[in-house]
Order: sequence, then structure tokens, then C-alpha cells
Amino acid sequence: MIELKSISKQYKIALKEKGLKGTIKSFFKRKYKIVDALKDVSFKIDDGEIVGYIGPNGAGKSTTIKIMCGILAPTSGECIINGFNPYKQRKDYVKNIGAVFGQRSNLSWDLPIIDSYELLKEIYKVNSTDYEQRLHNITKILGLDELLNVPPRQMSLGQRMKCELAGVLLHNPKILFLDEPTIGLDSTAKLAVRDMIRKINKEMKVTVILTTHDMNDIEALASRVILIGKGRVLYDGAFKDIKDRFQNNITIDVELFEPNDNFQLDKYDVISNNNGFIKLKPQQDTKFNIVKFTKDVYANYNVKDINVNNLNLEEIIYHLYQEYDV
Amino acid sequence: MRLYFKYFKTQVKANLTYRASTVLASFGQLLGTITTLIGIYLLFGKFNHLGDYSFEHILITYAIVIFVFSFDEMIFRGFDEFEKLISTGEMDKLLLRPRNLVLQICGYKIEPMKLGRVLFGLALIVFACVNLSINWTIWKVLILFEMILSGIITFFGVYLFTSSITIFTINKAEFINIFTDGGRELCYYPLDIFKKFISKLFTFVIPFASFNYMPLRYLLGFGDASVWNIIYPLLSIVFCIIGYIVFNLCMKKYKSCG
Repeated sequence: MIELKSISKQYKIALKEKGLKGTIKSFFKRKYKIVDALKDVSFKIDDGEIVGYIGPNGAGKSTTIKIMCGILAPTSGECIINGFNPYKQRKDYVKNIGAVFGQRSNLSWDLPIIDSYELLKEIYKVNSTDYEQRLHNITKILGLDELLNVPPRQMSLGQRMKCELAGVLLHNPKILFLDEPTIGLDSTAKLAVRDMIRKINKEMKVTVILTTHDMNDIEALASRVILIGKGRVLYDGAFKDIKDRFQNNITIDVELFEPNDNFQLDKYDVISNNNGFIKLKPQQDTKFNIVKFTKDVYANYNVKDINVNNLNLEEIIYHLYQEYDV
Repeated sequence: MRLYFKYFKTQVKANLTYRASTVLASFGQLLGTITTLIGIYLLFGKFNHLGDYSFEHILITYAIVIFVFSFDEMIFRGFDEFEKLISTGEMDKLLLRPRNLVLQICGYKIEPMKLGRVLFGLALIVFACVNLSINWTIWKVLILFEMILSGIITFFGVYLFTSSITIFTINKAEFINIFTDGGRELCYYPLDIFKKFISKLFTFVIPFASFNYMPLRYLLGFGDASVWNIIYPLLSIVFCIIGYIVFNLCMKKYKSCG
């Protein structure tokens, strides 16, 4: 179980002044500014969950992950993960976690993957029987057989990410931190990596915490999201709830057989009406229901086509950021 | 130790995938070293001796420093390029592993290419020993080993201290090179031929003298050498232990990049 209790993190940043004169001045007399990277962040994550940790750039995502991984010490607050204090008990703690950080690799660029795995085996002191068995399992579940003897430099980005994921599973971690696991991948590779993450969570019973900017990752994987902005937790709960909240921000296109300038529909606003092409928006506190809507429109008008424009996830997040003013 | 050898093996394998590059680099390293040696030889064409020392004496000093410095560069290269570990954020990766940090940094980058220079240094030591006109006893051989070992330890200590500074400066502070590369250049000669200030600095602050003039004078049987000259090299161990403690303290202040 992961538990963060009012974690705060402050950085001291040296201020630089403009121009050569400023640089020289600040070289001799530094002014510092205290920046709050995290302010009073608290949450709990149970074993076996997949949690999406999202937020705009600079919100404090990486800082939180680094604190949870034991790389940084929080300025104040308490972080307890599986009974460990990650920073103070680093060496004992990190045996139980795995982390894939965006573009940082655990694999040797020039050597076949299997060589890198054997180094990891040595680093984590995995005994040979366990190692063989896990490697067999992982390659079977994740389908990596043909990649084991290829060096990363000859792989595609997607293949490399798969191998990274397999690599951090060799020591059988209970928690997996994934920082932008699908960044830069094409859509097929994204699907494959998501599928892998789902399998890791379900079949190997690993708690997964992932940060991402790709909302499809969240939709495909995480039932719960923690939204962070300006160092604070803004939202923590089911992803579905966020989506429901923005139900009303959809638009509906209706095409009529004959133009009708007086098109009107109860509980819907007409945004535009052009030669039989009408754009509608549900009024506040109208719960949009496609069946009811269709019935209502067909009852009064001669409809050729209806198209619902769902708000896409990026837009939802954008609205959320705006709502919380981040 | 097993982990370190595993690191070593992996890196050698990785290096060997670039065959031509490995061969050329080893050759280049060798060439650079020989050039300096020729320089010293030419110098002795003009002068017969430097202070108390003859060409053969300088040769053994030079051979030892070449050997220990290249050896450290090969084995502890991770520390030599410590600023890269810090500024690229690779350090985070090492912190995520349940192993001793210093060991991991040592193993992070091992440069087998330096082997050419290490072997050259070794050959040079043997050559210089043969040419020294002293009576070799077991005792003197042990002192030679002491010099080599304390050389390796001293430079490792220097790495630890300079890396501690890098944790704060993030980029390698250039003045650090005074102690690594500068220290090496200085140690080509027995330090007591320099001005008092310099020889004191590198005797009592950074114990370069532990593999240099102190035990050397004893080895060569100079009259003024006492038993202190062979106890003194143990200072390198103290130096290295302090370095280790300082490094670990500084790591506590580590702020991750990227």
C-alpha cells in the first residue's frame, strides 16, 4: 500500500538576472527563490490498482514519483510505501519496486537484451531458478521471444519499451512506476504497450502508477486518476466521474433534408444554422441521452443525419485545468 | 565484487561490438603516453639529473603514475565522468537499484580501451625496475607494491572528492582537473623537486606523495629516508575513507535533474 501524508517539497532556485552584467552580478551575489514543487499532497493507493497520475508540465508529477521512488526526500510530510520510508530505507525499499522513466534506459545500447537482463539479475541478486522461471513467464506473457538476442540499437522504439518493461519485472516488483511509457510510440505500439501494462497488472498482480499526457492511456488503463496542478492534488477519483461531469460540453450536428431557419429544440441551444446544417449544444443541467434526443428531433423535423461530437479527453483535461486555474 | 565483474564483462562485450574503434582508441591512448615519455627523455639529454634523481629514478616515478592513473581511469571511469551522471539524470537510475552507490558508479562506465595504457604502464614499471641499480629484496618488492596500491587508492579518493563537488555544481567544475589531470602531470616527477609549497600541498592535503617521493626515497635507499617514508603511504587509505564519507554526505543533498 502506498500512503502519502501531506507531502511538501521546496526547491531553492538561484535567480539569474538578464544580460552579461546581470550574469556577472549574480555570479558574485546570488539571490535565491523558494519554489514550492509540492504542497500538501496526500493520497492512498491500494495494492493491485492502476492509477493514472496526470497534470500539466511542471505540475509536480516527476517530483512526486521521485519521492515515491526514494530518489528525493520530501521537505515535509510522510511517505510510507509497503511499510518502508523510501528515502531513508532506499536500499531495502527499491528491491520491491520497478520504474521505467521515459527516455532513460536500463538496457545496454549495444548488447543483446538478454545480456542486459543478466546484469539486472546480478544487480537485484535474483537467484538463477527464479530468474529462469520469471524470464520464461514474462517473455511468454509479453511475447518477446524473438527480441531477446537483438540489441536495443536495432530495435524500434516500441520494441525497446516492451523490453524495458520486461526488464523491470525480473526482480518481481510489487509496484511499478511508469513515467510516460507510451511517449513517442506509434498507435500500434501504443496499443501493444497498453496491453502489456494491463497484463502486468492483472496477471502478475503489480500495482501500477503511471504518468502520461496521452489521455487514451488513461482511458484504456486507469480506473482511477489523480490530477495534480501547481503542486496540489486537484482531483482524485474515478476517471468516469470526470467524464460524466463534462457530458454537457458536447455538440451535436443535425442535418435536415430541407433548410429550416426556425429550428428549435427544447433544452438545447442552437449554436449555428446554415442551410440545413444545424449545430446544437445541450443546455446546462440537461443530461444528454442519445435515444431521447433522436426521438425528439425526429418527431418534429425531417432529419437526414445526426452526429454527436463527444468532447475528447484532451479537451476534458484542458477544461479541468481551467476550472482549477492551473 | 561479483556484481562489479559482471559490470566489467558486460562493458567489455559492449565495447568489442565496435572492433575498429576499440583498437584505434587503445592505440591512440598508447601514443599519447609515449610522447610524454619522449619529452622526459629529451629533457635528460640536456640535464643529467633533477635534484637528487637520475633519469632511471624519474622513469620509475613516471611508470608508476601512468600505471595507477590509467588503472583508475579504466576501473573507476564512472567517477571520472560523474558530471554526466548528474546532469543527464542517469543518477536517478542508480538510486533505484538496491546496491551500494559507489560500487554502481564504478561499474557504470568501465573503459576497457584504457587497457592499452595500463599494460604500457605495467611494462614500463618492469623496464624501469630492471634498469634501477638497486638490490632487489622481497622487502623492496613489497614497497613497490605498496606504492602502486596507494597510488590507486589516492586517485580513487581524488575521484570521490571531486565528485562530491560535482553533486553541487552539476557541471564539472574545471578547477577539479588541477587535482586529477594536474595531479597526474605533477607526479611524473618526484614531488620534492618542486617548490616547498607544492610538495607540502600534495603531501599533506592530497597524499600524492604516498606513491611518489616518500616511499621512492626509501626504495632507492636515499640516506635521509626513515621508516616514516613507508608508513606514510597508509595516509592514502585515510584520505580515501574520508572521501567516501564526504561523498555519501554530499549525496544526501543530491537534487535530481530532468
